[in-house]
Parts: sequence; structure tokens; C-alpha cells
Amino acid sequence: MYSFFGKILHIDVTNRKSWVQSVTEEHLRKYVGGVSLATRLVYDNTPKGVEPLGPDNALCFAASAFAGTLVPVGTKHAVAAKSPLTNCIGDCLASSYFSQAFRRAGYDGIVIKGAADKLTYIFIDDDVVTFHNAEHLRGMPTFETEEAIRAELGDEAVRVATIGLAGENLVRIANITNDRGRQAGRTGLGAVMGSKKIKAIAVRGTKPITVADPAALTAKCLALSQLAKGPKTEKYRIMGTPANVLNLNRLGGLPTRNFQSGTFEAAEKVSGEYMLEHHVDKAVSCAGCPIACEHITSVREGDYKGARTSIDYESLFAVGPNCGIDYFPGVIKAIETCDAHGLDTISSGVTVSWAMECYQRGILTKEDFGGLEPTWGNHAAIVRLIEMMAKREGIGDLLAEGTKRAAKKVGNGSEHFAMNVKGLECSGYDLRAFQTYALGAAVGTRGPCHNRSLAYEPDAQGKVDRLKAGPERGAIAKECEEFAALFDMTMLCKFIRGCFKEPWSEITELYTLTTGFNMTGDDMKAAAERCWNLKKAFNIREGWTRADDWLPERCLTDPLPEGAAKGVFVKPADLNMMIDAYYVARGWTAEGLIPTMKLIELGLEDIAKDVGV
Amino acid sequence: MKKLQIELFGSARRLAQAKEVNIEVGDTATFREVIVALVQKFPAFVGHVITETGDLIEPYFFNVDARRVVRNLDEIPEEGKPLLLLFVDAGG
Repeated sequence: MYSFFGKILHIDVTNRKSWVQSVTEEHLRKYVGGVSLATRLVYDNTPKGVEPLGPDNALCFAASAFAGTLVPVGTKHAVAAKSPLTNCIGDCLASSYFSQAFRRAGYDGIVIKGAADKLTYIFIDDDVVTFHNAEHLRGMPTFETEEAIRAELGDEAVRVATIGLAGENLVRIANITNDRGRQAGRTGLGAVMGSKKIKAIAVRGTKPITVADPAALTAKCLALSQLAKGPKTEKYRIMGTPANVLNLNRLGGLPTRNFQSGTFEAAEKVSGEYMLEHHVDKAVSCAGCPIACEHITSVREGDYKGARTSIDYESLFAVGPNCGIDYFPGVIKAIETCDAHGLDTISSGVTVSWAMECYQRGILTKEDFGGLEPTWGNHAAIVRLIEMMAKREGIGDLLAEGTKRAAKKVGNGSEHFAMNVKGLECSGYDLRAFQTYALGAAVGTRGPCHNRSLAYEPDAQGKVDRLKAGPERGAIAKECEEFAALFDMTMLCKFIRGCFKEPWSEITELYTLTTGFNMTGDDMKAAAERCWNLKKAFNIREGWTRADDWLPERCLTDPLPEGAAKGVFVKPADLNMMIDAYYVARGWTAEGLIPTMKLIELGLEDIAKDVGV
Repeated sequence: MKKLQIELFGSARRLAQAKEVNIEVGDTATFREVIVALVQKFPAFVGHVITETGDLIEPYFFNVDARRVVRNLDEIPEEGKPLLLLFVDAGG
């Protein structure tokens, strides 16, 4: 077997035991790797109806076939579990040296179950798994935890994935961090890790990764690396994704003040251009990446002097325009605070903005906020609220539950502007201004995710009229999801997608040269469809119904008040029409269930017995 | 001749050091000639925003008034409607 090891490491934290399960070449080929493999591990290792923060939820890591090879931008791993935020599949990606170390330890996947009796970190040292007391690391910020564990183990080559205070406190929007700022960010997997009382997973991997055709793969990789250094990725290198701020603002789709508007009057002051001129120290890259999109920023003077963090568009929109902040140092400090405590920046920003709108409308008062006045743009209050969430202190205990649960508890109409789907907070594209993506967000298996759906692309690129709905969007959304799955299974960073002329066949060729699995582009397309149906099947098993595929009320009733998309909203009848069309395109029933024959056709016979209709 | 106002984003804005630019093209000029006019004004666009053969480099595209994407560069732009030269891309 090339690249893969045919081994899944199982760790029982309760009993401090581990063992290795063999997996066949056929299984790995069928699920390809990454998100697909991780989801299959979750499906197989969690009982139906499992409590997400209970010991029986399986926290699963899966490798990329490309990690540790020459394939550029392929050094990533997937993390998945039943999400404590959505009760659906929570599948995340992270990248860099941890991904490499995990592979080189000799595993294709890791399944962690149980719960320790005290805070613990796990050390996977190739074939040896040991459990270490982590009580002295309690409350330690994520980046410091990585350093502390490396120092404790006496090896700089050890790589660490860790939770922060938020994960320890079972905050439902907590993430898992590795390599100083790479995060498995969404759906609250940090809380799952915290529920097992695992502060961190340290890995030292020393095994070689072999590939099937080194000469041919090297030639392909050198050519791809050259392309990845060219103009098609320049936007990421120069400014990173913050370049999107002004673009989306001009299109009327930049979520502002908790999605009350799609334009921000001070967008220039929180733009990628402003960031580049005033705050960028340097651009850095993940392991094995020639693009280097990550821009390290710092505050050089004033209130937050010394604050330092990397910034991407999603973090920037969430705690910037979406909270009314037009002060870039405040954005940097808010993101730094999220990163230190291990909080998903998107969910943190959108949850705080929900609380701010509650304050704006008098639903929550200054007393509810412990004396804070969270007016739009009050960056000091926003930073404080993020800290309170991580600590579950005061109103932070409510916000730590995410917008869906918090709005249900607060009521008084606050559900109307709780900007989540299935419980996951919306990402940085106003759904009213991108109506194919509105469909993608409604039906997304982990909630509204631009990265899993990619359906904003046909909207923004003018392949459809982005401000109108249409039945053709069902097939388009499906196609976009499967294109995203191609990258999420092989675990190539999507930033390289513009460098392929024929992505399905070219990426499949890279995969074949790496693994030796002879696959065609059509085989890979079938695997992508299988991947999406597998995630959906998990959700169905856990109680999903069609009613869960819906949008926040605000998107369905409140027209955008200004900008290029002024007057536009998603009509409920249109949304239903698009969802119907999407289910038809997927070959599902009108209720969104998967026919038994469809599952059998996809090679998911065993799952058909659980959820097929 | 007609006057066109083009709003610049991303590398185009950085290379031009301007948020927007005004150009003049013939009454029957297409977007391809708009590209030529842009290159004449900003030769640095070549290789970053515009190819040596006069096409836009992906992911850049023209958008009319933030409402409609220009899918065919042989189209004739309308005077009085702002043009955007931009991209929208995410991932990771």
C-alpha cells in the first residue's frame, strides 16, 4: 500500500488503552481520505442518538493521502464528530505540520472515545500511545499549550492539536487548534474534545510516506507548484482572503451589524487593503504550500499594542463589519482573543452580534451584560464578551451555547435574527444577495458553510442571476457541493482550484500517482457523491428532518435595506422550490430522505439498512 | 467616444494605486477594447490581472453596476453604468 498505512488508531481515554484496526485498500479507495474517511469513522463508531458531549461520541481524525508528500497544498487533515452545536455531522479541516506528523506516525485515522477523569493530553509517539496529566495546562491559551507540551516532551518536532479554555468549558463553538493558528474551527469539535477531558493530542511521527510513482508525481507536483506561485493565486499571496471585504461590500453581500445590512459604510477601514498597509507583518504558509495566504498582523500602537494574529476574510467579517467595528486594531484583538481561547471566530462574531442586536432592540439590557454596553462598534465590549464566552462568565454562559440555543432561551423575537442554520452560525456571504448559496446554506449537512457548498461561486461569477431563485439551482448546488467534496476528500486546499484546467481528472491523477489506486475522474465523482450522501445519512440517523433545511427568518422576511442588493430577500416559496429541485437532483425523496436503492448504488449497503427508504 | 468609469478591486486596485479609473473608448468598442485601454493606462496589469493575449486572468471579471456579470467580452459596455473589475473567491 502506498501513502496510506491501512491502520486506524483507536484510543479509549476512559481506560487509557489504544489499539490498531486494519483497514483494507478497498475501504480507503472507496472513501478516498479526509472528510469522507472521517465521516465514515464517526458513522461506524458512534451509536445512534449519541450525546455529542458524552463519552460515546467518537472524535475522529482522518489523513490526506497527500500529507507528507510533494503534492502542494495537500498537507491537511480532517476532524469529525457529532456536533454539539447542530446534532448533525461536524466535519472540519485543518492543515500544516500536525497533519504531516499524524500521517508519519503511521495512521490513516484516529478514533478517540471515552472520557478521562482529569484533564489529560495524549502523546502518540509512532506506535506508542501514552496518557499524561494536563491539569497544569488548564486554562492555558492554545499557542502556549503547544509550546508547553513540546517543552515537556523535549522535542521541537512534536506537533500538537489543542483546545483552549473554551473547549475545556464545553463552549459549543469551541475549536481545535494546531500549528499556532490552524483550526478545525466550526461545529464545536473543541467542546467534544473538552468533554473527553483531553487538552491536547501531541504527535511525533517518523515513518516515511511512500508514493506509487515518485518520478511522475514529482514532475506533476513541480508543475503544479509553479502554477500555484502564479497569477491565479496572487490575490491570496498579496492580501489573502480579506481582499473580499470591499468586493462583497460593493455587491451588497457583506454581512453588517448582524446581517441587518449587506453594506458597511466603513468597509475601507476594515478592508484587506487597509490591513496590508497598516498591520501586516508577514505572510506565512502551511506546510507544503507555495501560496502563503496567511497574513500575520499586529497592532503597532494604541489600545491593543502588541496584539497579533493571522486574519482571513471570515474572521474579519464576523468580528468586524458584522459587529459594526471599523477599528482594525479592535478586529485584531477580537480575533487574537478567539484564537487564544480556542473559539471559532465566525460563530463567536455572529453570536456576539446577535447579543448586540438584542441590546439594540432592548431585549437584553446593560444589566444583563454585567454593566457592559455592547453598542455596534464597541470593540472593547466585544473583546470582553468573547472572553466571557470562553469562561462561561455572566452572559457569556448563555452565548457559549451559540445563537440557536441562546435565542430560544431569551425569546422575545430574538429568534428572528439568530443567524444560524441547524444551529451553526452563518458565514460571511449575505444569503439574500447570493441565492444559489442560500440554497446551499439551507441544505448543508453541517449547516451554512461557504466551503462545503461553494454555491456562492455561480452567483458571484454571474453564471446565474444571484438576486433571484430558480429551480435550476438544485442541480447547480449539488454540483458545487461535489466539487467541494473533491477537495475535502483529497484534502487539497481550495485556493489552488484555479490552477487546474480539468480538476476532476487532474486531481484524480495526482491521487493515483500517490496511492497507486487506479481511479478515473468518474470514480472520484462517484466518491464525492458517496461522501455527501454519507454525511446526509449520518444526519438522518441522528434525527434530521426536512424542516432542518431552512434559513434564518431574517433572510426570508427582511429585504436588504441598501446597496447593490437593496430590496432583495429569499422568498419562502422560492426556497421551498429550490430545495425540492435539489432533492430531485440528488435522487432523494421529497422529504429529503435517501432511497435504499440510491445508497446501494453508492456502495453504502450497510447504511441503507439504517436509513434507506 | 464614450466615457466609462471602472471601479478596481484586489490586485487591479493595488497596481493602479487607485480605487477607480475613467477611460474613453469608441462608441462601438467592446469589453476587449476596454481591456486594451486599461493595459495602456496600467501596463503593470499584464501578468497579474490581464493576460498577455488580452483576456482577464481568472478569477477576475467585469461586473456591470454590481448587478450583472459580463460573460462575453465581445459585449459593448453601456455608458453611464459603473463597471467593476473584481473577483469573489474563498476556500482554504
